[in-house]
Amino acid sequence: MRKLHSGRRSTANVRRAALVLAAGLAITGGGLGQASAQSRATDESALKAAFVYNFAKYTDWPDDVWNKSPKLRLCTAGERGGFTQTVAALEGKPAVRGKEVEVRQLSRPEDAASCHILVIAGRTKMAEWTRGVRSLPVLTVGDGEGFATNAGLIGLYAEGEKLKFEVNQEAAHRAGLRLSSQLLKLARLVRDEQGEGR
Amino acid sequence: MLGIDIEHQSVGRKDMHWKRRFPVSVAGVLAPVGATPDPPHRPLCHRPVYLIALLLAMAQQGAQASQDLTDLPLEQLMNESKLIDASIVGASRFRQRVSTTPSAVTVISREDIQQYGWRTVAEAVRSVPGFYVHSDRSYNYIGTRGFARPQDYNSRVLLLIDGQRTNDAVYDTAYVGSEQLIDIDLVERIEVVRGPGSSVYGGNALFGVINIITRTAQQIDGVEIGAAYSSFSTVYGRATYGKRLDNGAEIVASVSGSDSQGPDLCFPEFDMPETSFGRTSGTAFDRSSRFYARLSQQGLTLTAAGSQRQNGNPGAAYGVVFDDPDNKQTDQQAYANLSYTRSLSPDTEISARLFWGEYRFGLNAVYAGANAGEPEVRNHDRGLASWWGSEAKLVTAWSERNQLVSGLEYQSNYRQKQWTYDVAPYQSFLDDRHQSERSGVFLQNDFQWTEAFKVSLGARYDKVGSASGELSPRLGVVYRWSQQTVWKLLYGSAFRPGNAFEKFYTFPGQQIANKQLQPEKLKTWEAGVEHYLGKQTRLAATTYYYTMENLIEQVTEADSGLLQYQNAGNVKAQGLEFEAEHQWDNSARMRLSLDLLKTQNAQGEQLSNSPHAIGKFLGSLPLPWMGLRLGVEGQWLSSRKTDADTTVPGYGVVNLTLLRPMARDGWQLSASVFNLLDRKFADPAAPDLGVPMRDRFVQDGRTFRVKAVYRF
Repeated sequence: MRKLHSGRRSTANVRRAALVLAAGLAITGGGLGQASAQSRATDESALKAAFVYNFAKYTDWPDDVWNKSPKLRLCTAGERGGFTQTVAALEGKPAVRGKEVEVRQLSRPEDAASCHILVIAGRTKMAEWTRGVRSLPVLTVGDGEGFATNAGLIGLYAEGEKLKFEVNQEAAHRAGLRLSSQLLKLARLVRDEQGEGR
Repeated sequence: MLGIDIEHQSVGRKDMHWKRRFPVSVAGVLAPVGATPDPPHRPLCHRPVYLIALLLAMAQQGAQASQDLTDLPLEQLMNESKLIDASIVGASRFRQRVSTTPSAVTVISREDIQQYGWRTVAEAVRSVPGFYVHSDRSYNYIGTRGFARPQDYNSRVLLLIDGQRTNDAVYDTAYVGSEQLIDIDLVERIEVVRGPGSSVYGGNALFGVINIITRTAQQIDGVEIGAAYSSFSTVYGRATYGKRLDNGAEIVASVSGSDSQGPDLCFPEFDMPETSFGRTSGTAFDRSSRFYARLSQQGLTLTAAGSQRQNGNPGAAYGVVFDDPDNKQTDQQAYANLSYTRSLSPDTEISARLFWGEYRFGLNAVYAGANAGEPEVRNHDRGLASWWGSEAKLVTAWSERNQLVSGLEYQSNYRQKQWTYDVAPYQSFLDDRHQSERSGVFLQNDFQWTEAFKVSLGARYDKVGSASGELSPRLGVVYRWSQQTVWKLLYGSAFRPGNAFEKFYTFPGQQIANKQLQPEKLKTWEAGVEHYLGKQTRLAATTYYYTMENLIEQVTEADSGLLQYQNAGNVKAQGLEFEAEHQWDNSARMRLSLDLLKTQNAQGEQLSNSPHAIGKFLGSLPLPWMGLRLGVEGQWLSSRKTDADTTVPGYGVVNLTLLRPMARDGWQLSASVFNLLDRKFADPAAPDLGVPMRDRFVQDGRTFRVKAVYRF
């Protein structure tokens, strides 16, 4: 009696589960078609590049530095890969405070003096590059672990499912850059070679 | 047998009672979705089809609205972006990406908690692939990998709050239900690491580590007031303050409370004239309150938290008088914690922590007199655990290819008390006092052998009380086969010593002690593959096999006929888990999982409370109106055996939450319907000599909640 009863229930349950699964798969399938065309839009590198583009809006360079070039000079260095590619794709985006974005890939730290923003991708060459532009009015942005505590200015990091950033204000002072309070409000604040960490 | 028959005959009537108890229409709540509820007597299994069509339509519609990320302001980018490969700290006690962790990991975000209307940690964790929760209307218990002993007090998962262990020192319980220490609205995210964690955490981390990460002052940034009203006359309120000051100091403070009258219930095992045919009202009440405070500056953090929950005993557990609201229990927790973190260099971080915790349990019970006509007996059953301890940890990338984490931990359980007495005339039955210590040292090194190949080797040595030491090694291999595909292999061993409750607790006519209890030991082998498709889709499959030696199990002791915790032989199990996760450009997302599992006890039979299959669905969709989002949660569990050798049928549950996320005007609003289809389902019950004919606890049918949060 009991067996029969529970047997019937479980068939119904299997059917229901199959329906739930089918629903999910249908949605995945339906979405996949859409996604393959646009999948880059929210990929992590594109997100990082969008952060970099935003940082430009919230940073004040000294007048002479800002005025020396008609374009916003965005340079990339470090490990070549997704991040440097998506930053390169920022060229042609709407102008930031009247300046069109120009992107250059650097191979020597000495060339960085003419950049407004220097994006240093990855961890392996991070120290070498941040040392190279130390005290220059260059906004350094990196995604290597410990970037901002290692003399970098803005470090991108993942926390849970979110992309966040930490700011080294001492490094900003050294570089003579002013970061807006709106930016600082969203940032985790760190210092050279020490911080809250996690 | 007789008891079981009674139970069976009355199922039909019980269902009728349940129906009658939910006369409230949910049509109003559902209206924006566009689905009018079906007439009540339509076959239930047809309903999801409408849902599917609806979801599909909305997913398709929404997916077309794609945005260039650079158009979005920074704050929105930060809040709305989701990395498909999340970062976690709970697996190895340092920050790493899920794809580089040898373990299977799920991250539950704050957005998920809001989107799916989860009220407790248990409800959130229930969404994790392979996890299931059972309830006896006192606590919620977490099962995973087919393992959820009905008489276990949640001692086989480790619950951390910001990395700090919270399982108490008498019952070893991870408190995840309405008695939980942290209000769910203070949670930034929950990391759920499946599989063994003893190699870095020591005892209790057998089947999983749940790390709750609280919101920072910066994330709260102001004052938040929350209020909710839900079924069974349940009210909830919360006030939270969080601010980062200009000098970098951060303050968080929060208080919250809830009061529920609880449902009217019907227990077929009490279906007799003298116990009002099993019906009880006003006994399933649940009142809780909690506070949380944190102060931090420059790596130094001071945290204090406390909670209290009082609830009734509607099912007359332990054989108390049925339908008497004087039967109630109280759970109190307190917690304080001073921690310091400092980077010594960009590659090296040290941290230290001093912690204190306390847990108090109080059961007030009313028992019938021994003979007819004698007065009722009031009995108090108490538990008290107090502990303090300290730990130190070092995380260092000591070479380009090596990352090392190492630590020391010491904990003194300076009070482990359990006592039981009749109030009048006073008579003591148990006055058990113990003290114990545990200490551990661990070391783990992650070696990046080649760019694609990482080996993680670690072990922890623990000394618990006077027992001999326990070594828990773990070996993990992560192989990045391609940019998209990661293979993982893991071997881990974990242990759990018998706790004070299992070893020392006695109660006349119910339970006897067992001072000889040996630790149980788990060995797990896992292999998994994760495939990232276009960085918006994650597919994962995991297979595992585990054996548990010396399972600590409550059994009926042969001579006395009373319950006793014993080492009851070995258990083995294997399982297969599939998971698919996808997010669309328009911020719609979904996750689907299926677990197939097989467990075997010492007799070669499937464990009780162990399903063969578990299916889950989570979907979150932006709706075209007013920024609303719809969250759909589906849970399906196959049938489970009970300890009385009966079977509780499989069930499927659908929960819906309509959310208006926090907007510029400061308001966040949500409306939820839980168990939308009003499924009647039950969880297996632990054997209770006071209620021998009970084999299951029927769970709530359809319930609702409306909630508002205002921020300024």
